[in-house]
Amino acid sequence: MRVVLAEDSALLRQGIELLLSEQGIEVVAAVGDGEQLLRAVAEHRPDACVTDVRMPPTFLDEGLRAALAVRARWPETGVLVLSHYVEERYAIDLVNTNDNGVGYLLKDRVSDAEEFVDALRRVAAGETVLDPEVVKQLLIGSRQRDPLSTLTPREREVLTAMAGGRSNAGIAADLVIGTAAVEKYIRSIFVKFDLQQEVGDHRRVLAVLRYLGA
Amino acid sequence: MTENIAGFATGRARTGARPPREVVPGNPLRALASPVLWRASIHLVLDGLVALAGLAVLVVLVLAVCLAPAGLVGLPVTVVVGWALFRLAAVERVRFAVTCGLELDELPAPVCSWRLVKSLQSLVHNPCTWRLIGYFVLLVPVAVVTVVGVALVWAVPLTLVLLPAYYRGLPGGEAQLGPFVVDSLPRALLVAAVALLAGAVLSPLIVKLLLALDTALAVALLSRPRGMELEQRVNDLTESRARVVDAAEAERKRIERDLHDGAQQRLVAMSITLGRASSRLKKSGDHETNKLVEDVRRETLSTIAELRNLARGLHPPVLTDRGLEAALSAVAALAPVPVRLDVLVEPRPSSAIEAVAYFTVTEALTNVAKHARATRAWVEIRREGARLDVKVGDDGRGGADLAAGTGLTGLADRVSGVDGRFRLSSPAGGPTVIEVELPCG
Repeated sequence: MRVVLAEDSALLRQGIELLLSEQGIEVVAAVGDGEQLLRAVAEHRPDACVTDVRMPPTFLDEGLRAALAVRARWPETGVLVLSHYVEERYAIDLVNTNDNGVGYLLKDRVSDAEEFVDALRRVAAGETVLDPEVVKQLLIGSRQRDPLSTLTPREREVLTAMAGGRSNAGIAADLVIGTAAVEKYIRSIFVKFDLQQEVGDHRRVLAVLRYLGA
Repeated sequence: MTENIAGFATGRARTGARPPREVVPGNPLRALASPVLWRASIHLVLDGLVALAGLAVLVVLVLAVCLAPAGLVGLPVTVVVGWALFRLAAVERVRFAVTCGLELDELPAPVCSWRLVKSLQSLVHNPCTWRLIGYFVLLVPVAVVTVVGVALVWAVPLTLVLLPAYYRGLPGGEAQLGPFVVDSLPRALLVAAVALLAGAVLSPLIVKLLLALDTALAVALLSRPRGMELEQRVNDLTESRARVVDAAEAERKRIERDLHDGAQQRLVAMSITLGRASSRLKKSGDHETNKLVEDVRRETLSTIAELRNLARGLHPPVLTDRGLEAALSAVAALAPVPVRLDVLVEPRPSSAIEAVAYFTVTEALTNVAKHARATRAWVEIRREGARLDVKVGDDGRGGADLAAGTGLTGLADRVSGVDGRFRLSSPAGGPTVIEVELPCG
């Protein structure tokens, strides 16, 4: 797998680069701001890119903008956005683009090499990966929106896991219940949300998140 | 960006005039030797000249005011004379500073331009105009007293001290001082000695008295009126407070940035290195060591989380980027009780006001978590024209008290720092509601 990395801190750029190459992932370019990220993606056409949110010149959300631009121009490239803080609004921006292959994680998650690489592979494969912290914010933020308050605590747990991009089997393992039970919960959630069931896990995640971020 | 907050303080005296730096010494010998006495004497003599100039200006002013109905001539002349009055006052300020070391504050100058009506209005509305007219009117009699006084104080003793030298040349070869006739050298010397002594003791005293009269008049009418002084001071303080609030906000942003660029990045880099070590150990099958490394990594992650919360509490970058609602959604998510968030803030207020509103909500929710024993909380923020209303409530047990030394005191201080209003309603048994109004012009 070929990856472009954008991170303005040289220390972190080097750390992430080493971690990825040790996990057998080729970092074809490592750059320091959004502009260079777009140029590098145009040049190398990687499977995925990893970008920090806060980069020069304004240190606000350049990385996020660059990530959205990459998704718009090169749909075959997945983007994984990293940040010291995860913000619900940025997550909504990412998942509201009506496509998938996006990820948004706290920088802390990088230290768990296997999990980080797994997230990167899923993003490259066109899935959606969101940090549990963001999911929590999205769920809370939507409490004032009615359908969610009708969910049982168990359904809420399932929805959270689902929003995190887990498969039914994964959710079953997480909650220590059978996959049949998971499917039952998911059907019930979709009924309550009045959503058509779609094919594929990440599609459902997007549907749910779009609903939450509406 | 570093600012010295203390450097904003403008060192102004509390009144319009500082006491003279130098006074005529009380000891007559010292007084005679001191330049202060002679400068004071010159000052008193100059009173006459200034009084004449003032009188001239006042006469023209009266004429101009009489001509004012004629408009074309009267109006511009009045404005020019008004301006001249203030220029003369400025000359007086310099004169008092040079000859008596009395420092008077500059008077707020009236507008003086071709927009005659506006200039005239600013003259009439300026309280200093009337005080200056009063000053120059009173200066005429005062100058008569001081000029005559200072002339006598020095001329009389001098005439008498020199008596032995010229009494023979006087008509009849003698001088008549009341009942005392000077017609011999011993007598003349006696008079000279008495005059010398009396002059040395009394003259400085009389000069001091005359000068006191002069400076009293200047301090009373040539300095700013007390009310104006206070008004100016309130304006200065309001401005400097706003600068201090902005500086503090900038400082918070800077610290957050420094933490982000420094400690947070380093810790994350460290956790990544630990993660790499852990995955190598896993591959080599050294589970004992791996467990240790994993412990350290987890510890690092909780440090990162702590630091993240600290930095976010200082100033979340998303607040600058996306405003209050976006920044508060995460705060609400982290609260231990469900929080209903309802934010309508259009257009966005200044960053200082936004930061205070954000801090209000975070502080209030922290209190809810710590003390309220609530099951739910709600936040409502509305922009009403030039006002931002922030309300935070919970269904807890109430009894919150500003005096109890919770974070509420700091919150109230920060709100008053931007001229906001803070209200707390928390009866025993609840509910607790904090209402904050912030100005956002």
